[in-house]
Amino acid sequence: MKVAEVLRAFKKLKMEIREGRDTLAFFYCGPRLILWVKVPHKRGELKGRLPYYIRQQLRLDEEQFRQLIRCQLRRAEYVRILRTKGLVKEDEVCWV
Amino acid sequence: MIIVGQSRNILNSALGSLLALIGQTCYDKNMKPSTAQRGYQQIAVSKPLLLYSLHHPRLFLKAPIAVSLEYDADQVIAYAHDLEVFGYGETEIEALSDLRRTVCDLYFELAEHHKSLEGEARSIWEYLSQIIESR
Repeated sequence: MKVAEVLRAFKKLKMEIREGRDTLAFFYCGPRLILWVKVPHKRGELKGRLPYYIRQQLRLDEEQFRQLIRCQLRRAEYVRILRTKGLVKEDEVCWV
Repeated sequence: MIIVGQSRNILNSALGSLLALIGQTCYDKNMKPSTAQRGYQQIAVSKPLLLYSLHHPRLFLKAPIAVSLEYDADQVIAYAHDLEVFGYGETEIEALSDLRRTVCDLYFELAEHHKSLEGEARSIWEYLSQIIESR
């Protein structure tokens, strides 16, 4: 898995990353901060257990994470997953 | 002497089998390691430590942060379980520096939005605001 693929996935989920300062990407549901994920800061391949930790922070299982990296998981579906885990409320509207 | 030689052969053979098993577990992507093997890998390569400083001009730790250092193939991951964040680098120093920066970024972000936090994020902010003093 490449660092660029992970960063692209964060953008796809419309996570907030302020270039040059942050080491974290933040996922907001409206004004509410739901979770944060480490932003890989090196180029090339993500080695060893780093993909595992990033997946854990995203609260995704292996298949869902694979789909995200393949760009098959969009923000709306991701919100649905977070809703099933209780991180996003049932009636909460997750505008960006 | 003969017995010692035979024992050594047996030991070498056993060690070879063990190394082959570990090598297979670590590097054969087609073979899925068992939960026990994964557990062994995790236990074998992690080291706990306490982080006493954030190396930041404004943020100071009132209590240490529990960190586990994990040694991958050619990198070190410093994971803070209570904050669910990690840092990484080629050396322990790099990994811990990266983790410190990440904790500081998390603190500032949560401090900015702490009124709208709920659930897990709120719990982590409550813990973080207890252990970090901002001057």
